[in-house]
Amino acid sequence: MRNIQYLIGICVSSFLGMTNVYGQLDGKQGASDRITHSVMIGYNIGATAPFSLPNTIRGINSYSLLFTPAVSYEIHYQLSESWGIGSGLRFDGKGMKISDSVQYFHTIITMDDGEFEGDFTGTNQTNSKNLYLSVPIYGVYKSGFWNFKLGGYVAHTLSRRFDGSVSDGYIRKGNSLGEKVLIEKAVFDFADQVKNWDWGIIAGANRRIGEHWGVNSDVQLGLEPIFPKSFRGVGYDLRNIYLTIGVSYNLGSFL
Amino acid sequence: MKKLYLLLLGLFLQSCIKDAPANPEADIESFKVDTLQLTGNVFVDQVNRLIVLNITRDAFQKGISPMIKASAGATISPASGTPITFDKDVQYAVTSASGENTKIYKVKVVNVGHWEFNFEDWEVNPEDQYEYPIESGNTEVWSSGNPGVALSGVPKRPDGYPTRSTSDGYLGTKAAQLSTIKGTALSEFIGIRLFAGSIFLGDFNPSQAFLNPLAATEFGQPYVTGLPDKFSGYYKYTPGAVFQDKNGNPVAGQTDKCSIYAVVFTGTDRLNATNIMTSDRVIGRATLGDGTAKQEFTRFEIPFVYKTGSAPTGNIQVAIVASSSARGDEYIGAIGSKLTLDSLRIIPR
Repeated sequence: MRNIQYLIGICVSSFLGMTNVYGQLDGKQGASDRITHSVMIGYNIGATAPFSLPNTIRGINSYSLLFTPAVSYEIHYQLSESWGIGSGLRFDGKGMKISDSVQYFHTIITMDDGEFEGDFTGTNQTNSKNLYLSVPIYGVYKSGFWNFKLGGYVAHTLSRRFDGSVSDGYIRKGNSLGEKVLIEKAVFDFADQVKNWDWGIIAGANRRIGEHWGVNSDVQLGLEPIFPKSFRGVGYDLRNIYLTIGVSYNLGSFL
Repeated sequence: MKKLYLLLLGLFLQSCIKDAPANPEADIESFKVDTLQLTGNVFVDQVNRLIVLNITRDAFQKGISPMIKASAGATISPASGTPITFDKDVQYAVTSASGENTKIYKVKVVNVGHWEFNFEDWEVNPEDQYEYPIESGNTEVWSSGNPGVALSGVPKRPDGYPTRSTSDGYLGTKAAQLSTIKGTALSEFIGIRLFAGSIFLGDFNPSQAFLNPLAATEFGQPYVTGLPDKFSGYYKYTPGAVFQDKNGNPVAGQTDKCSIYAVVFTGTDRLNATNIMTSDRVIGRATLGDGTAKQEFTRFEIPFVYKTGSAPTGNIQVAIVASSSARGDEYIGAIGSKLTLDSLRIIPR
């Protein structure tokens, strides 16, 4: 009988011990529980533009959006209750259609067999639209319904478009001292000059609505000019500056 | 939501517009001389920064008081309206409103004294490296399409241009060589797939070079000794292998032809490639009939054919115009066509 009591005692204490162990796991979570998967679909709004407008740009006549969606799949790894890290795979269309008035806008167009250099005054219209496959890596701070993220991204250019026209103005050959050549309309296409890679900063916020859904907004600031230094068709560096508005769906930790 | 963002973005961009840069331009935009003192209109040569004057003998001796318009905000010295005389070199300094740029324009009085052109002396444009012929006294009475071709991004060397000198001239001297060359990637943007070599008495106005290229070639030099009788010279011509249309497509069974002609017309306004064939100011023509291949130098002497009853009074101008592709003004011809010209003469009555 004593033996039986002893045996039960071991069983109970083992059970208690086991619950104790599981209790500890509850506090820390298992590795697979710390990972959450999510998908996001959104729309990119912004410009491929200089960070600060040069004084050669005299006015923005019109700006319109092109079809520039953002689709991503992201993984978060929870490090503690508030902090985590995230990464993913993301397709970004980044583009715009803009018409602006420029004055003494310096351009150098290089061709196989020569080049043309001059200062343009008149109306410029540009259509820019590039498709990127990007990998963001960022830190996540979680507070209530909110997730904030800050980090960087590296993007590979999948398709490119950069074309438009200059019209209703004149170009001075060489520089502002050169002879004036009137222009009614001339078209340009610099798509093949757009770089293969882009990288920059990503910062954003996501607010959870309900169990799975969330509203997502982030800013991507390209630090790499979209054209190489050797390209001088646009007299200043253009970078991708885009805001993404979208909805996210949290897939949980099912994988 | 999207609209709001757009609005914010728009406001953000507009708020970033900086103050306008001060005007860096320093052009003489117009140079007006009393029309009674002119034998041909004043040409402001923006490429070479020259004021080219065709004036009467009287004006040359007494001087003129030109009214000058410079770029907005620019200052000019000597000031507009100041009398100038031609006993010494005259030049104008234009300083831009921004203060950073100053252009010097030299004044040149040009009169074709001897209407005999042997194309022995050539100069090279320092910036774009194309050649142009000069006459005795360092005057420039001939022009070509080269300044326009220079805008299209061709290689900056004399043989990159359609019009240049050659040492393969008549009697072994220098001559003018006109070649039809392929357009550039840039010229194709405005529909130009070939550049015919051209040379003409007159000047090239680059402001029209993209907008209306045919109006950029301004034909004519004042002719002050009555009326010309004949137009003569030497030429040889090799058409290029493949004749192409405006779109650059080969046209089977067609061979390129050269074109050489001289025109007499009235007035001080120059004619250009848009109206030299149609203007009712034209009173006489001398046109080479045979534009086909000529292996060796071939002499031509063509009498001017005048409109019946034309007894002009006032200013007379004469233009000589030649092209390595007769339809070069429509950008039609054969790449590689080559016309060599030498010893051109306008023979007076």
